[in-house]
Amino acid sequence: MQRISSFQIWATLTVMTIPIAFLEVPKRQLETLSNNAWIAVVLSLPFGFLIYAMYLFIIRRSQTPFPAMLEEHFGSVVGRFLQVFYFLSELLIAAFGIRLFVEFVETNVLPGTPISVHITVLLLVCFSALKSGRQTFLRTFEIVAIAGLFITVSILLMALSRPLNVENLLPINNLNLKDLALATASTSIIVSRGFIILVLGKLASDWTGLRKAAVAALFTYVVLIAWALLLSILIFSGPAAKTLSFPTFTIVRIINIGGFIQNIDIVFIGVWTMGMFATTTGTWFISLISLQQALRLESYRFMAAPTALIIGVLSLTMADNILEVHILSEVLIPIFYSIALFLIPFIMFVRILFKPQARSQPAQSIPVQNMD
Amino acid sequence: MRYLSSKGKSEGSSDPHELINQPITGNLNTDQNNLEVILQNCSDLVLKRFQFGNPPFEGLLLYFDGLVDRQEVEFNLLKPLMLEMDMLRNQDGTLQEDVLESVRYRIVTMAEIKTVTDYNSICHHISSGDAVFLIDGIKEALVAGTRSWEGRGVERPENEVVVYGPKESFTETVRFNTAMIRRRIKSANLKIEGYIMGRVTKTDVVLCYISGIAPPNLINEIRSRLASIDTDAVLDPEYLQEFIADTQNTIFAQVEHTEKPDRVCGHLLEGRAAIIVDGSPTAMILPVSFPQFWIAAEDYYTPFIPASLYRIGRFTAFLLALLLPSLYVAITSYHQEMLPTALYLTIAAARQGVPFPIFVEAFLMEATFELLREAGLRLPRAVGPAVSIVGALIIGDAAVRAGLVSTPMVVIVAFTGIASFVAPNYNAALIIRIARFGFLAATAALGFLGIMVVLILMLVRMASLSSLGMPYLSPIAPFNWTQLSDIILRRPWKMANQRPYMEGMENQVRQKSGEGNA
Repeated sequence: MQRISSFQIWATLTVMTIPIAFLEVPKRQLETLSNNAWIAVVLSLPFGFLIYAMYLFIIRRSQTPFPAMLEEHFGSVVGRFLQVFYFLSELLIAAFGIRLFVEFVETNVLPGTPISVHITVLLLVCFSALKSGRQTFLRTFEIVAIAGLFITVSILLMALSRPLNVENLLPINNLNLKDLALATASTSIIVSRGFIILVLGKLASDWTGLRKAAVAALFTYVVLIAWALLLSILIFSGPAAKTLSFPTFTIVRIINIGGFIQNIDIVFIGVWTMGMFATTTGTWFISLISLQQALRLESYRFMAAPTALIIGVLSLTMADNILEVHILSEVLIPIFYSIALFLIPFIMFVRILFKPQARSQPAQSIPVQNMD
Repeated sequence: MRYLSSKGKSEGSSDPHELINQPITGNLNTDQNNLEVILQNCSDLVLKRFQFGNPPFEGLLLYFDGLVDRQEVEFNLLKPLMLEMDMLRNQDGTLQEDVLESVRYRIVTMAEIKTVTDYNSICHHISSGDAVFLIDGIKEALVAGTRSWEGRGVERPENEVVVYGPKESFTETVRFNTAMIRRRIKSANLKIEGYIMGRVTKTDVVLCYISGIAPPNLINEIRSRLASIDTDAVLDPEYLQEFIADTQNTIFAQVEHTEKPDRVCGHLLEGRAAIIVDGSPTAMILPVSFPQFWIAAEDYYTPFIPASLYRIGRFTAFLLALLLPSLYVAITSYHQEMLPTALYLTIAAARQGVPFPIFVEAFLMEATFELLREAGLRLPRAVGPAVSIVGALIIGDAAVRAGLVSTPMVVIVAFTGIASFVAPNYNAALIIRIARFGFLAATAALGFLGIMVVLILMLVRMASLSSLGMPYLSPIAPFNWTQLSDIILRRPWKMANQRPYMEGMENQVRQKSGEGNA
């Protein structure tokens, strides 16, 4: 299997964590902590670091990459059951991500176009990337990460031209510790979307580069989210910002430079489209290689077409309207996220930590499928 | 009986296809007859039978008229044969045993001379401009290098115009072209490997590289791909490109074509290889990556600060040429809120009365522009510019006056056209011209989202390509900041210590080191 550079890992972790979080997290934290929301994002740095440390520890102590490592650490039967579970849950997460994005676009940008068109188009680009192979979509992620960060940072810099009220950051004394803990946890858990590092880590060209890439991705995430959140607080103030559906999006909307550059939210949507493409492709890839490993298939690429149908139908039928999508995002999806991206790796981490010799199956006997 | 009939058939065969693979018989009459059969209906063939020496030897000289230097044949081949035949005798007056060797080494004064033993080689050499000389009783023929034909002289490049720097361009003669390269790289490590390709055309093809700089695995790969080509004709490097390229079904060119020897030398010094085909004034450079198409030869003959600024401008022009019409359609059709009110009203007023939707208007204008450009290229030089100007000015003005298109659309299309001319490489411009229509169609359906979708599809496709194993988007993806910075900006020569990295490259040091011994 082809090796992966540190930059590719950084780019992949960045595009897997930031795109959805950039819209979701500021809103959620503002609702919980109002003007103090930025503190939760800053505090998520050490917790995010712990999550990546856990992933890196698992990679270091495993002889196989994910999903074969599930068999290595949980045994053949449980491991293969978990691989099927990952196939289904990652499909669901991919379908939900697409639906959330499409609902957002439908509501804010192109209200007239049927959502089936958006879903088909997004699936088409992800499908073409998956069919082209891992190395191809990782290279595309590199460009998406560079272009996305460049445009996002430019937009955030332009937002600095708005009147900023520094006083909005002051009322730290109203901080509720319970809310702070909840907000910090919910911001930190987003880092677990970097779960794909378990797949790519073993293929990394060097271990030091892998660690640096993980830390750099974490810093990128925290800086960007904190920046967006701080701008929301400085421009609108916490109480006003939490009434907005998507405070980050509203910041982009109100940018006006020289009376000429205005309403550039569509540019932001474009960047977000690239991000969503990367997030969906990454999630879909994990799903496909999980099934490939479970069924001992030679390639995952041929499954892209049938699973595209499943994802398409699933994202169309999972909710009737945007309200149901929001309910799903608050009830069902976090459970899948927590179990698939954090809980199972955490159990694996504990098993490795305390029972290093308890592998039910020697790694040599697990055939690692080709993930190129 | 079977043996006899077969033998008889072989000796008396009059089928040129059978005869051509047979060896020279040594009987001059038979050889002449056979060659006349093989080369029948070739009116440009000169077949001169003559006697030389005392006692006289029968000789046969043959060549194609127009391909040889007649003076060379007369003064350096025929004249010595006629006048210096005493050398064929030993001191005691007897004839030397090996007449052919004596003629080759002692009589004929030409530098390039060798022997062949079969009709096929004779035909190949006379087709290449050599003169062939047969002697009665000898089963070998002498080949004298007398190639000389009328060809175009070295002129200015037509497609890669530069203000500063060398202004020579390749010609249609492969040897002139290799000479132009060797004149610039006076190193024994400059290797020029010759191949004869095309079953019918027998075209001379050369592979140029610098040994010690070009990765050996790359050169071996090119050699093996060239060796696997089995085709009738090779008339241009483009014939080979489709055989050599990693992927055929794509609009993205995986090799670079240039008509400038200095550009070829620049690439060779970066470890790449060049293929030159006799009869074509274009060299093919490989491997290449997409960003490389946007580097002009002139960048290296201009101070690095303006060169870097021009380069950034060129990349901006690339994006404009690719996306400007689509952005205009997207903004005016779907995202009008992005435009300041005054500007939007201006555009709306200009479009009043235009019967087509903006997308159709843009598509028609772009198609017309492409037609005009293509017509301008194909028309005779005297009328080409006139037609382009008539097309651009009169048809454009008439279309606006007739209310078929709006003036802002004319401005957008004209600006796009100018931006696309900024591409220093024709292949790169071609990619833009084709992809632009895809962007337009997607924009018509989905607005800005359509642009992003096509952009991602294009990136995915480009990321999946490679040119002889080199990733097509390198050094953007896989990302390499050191090399990318040298592509976005033109690095000062003092800081250009290393060549761009290629897998397998053994000597990456360009200066400030004793390692670079090429």
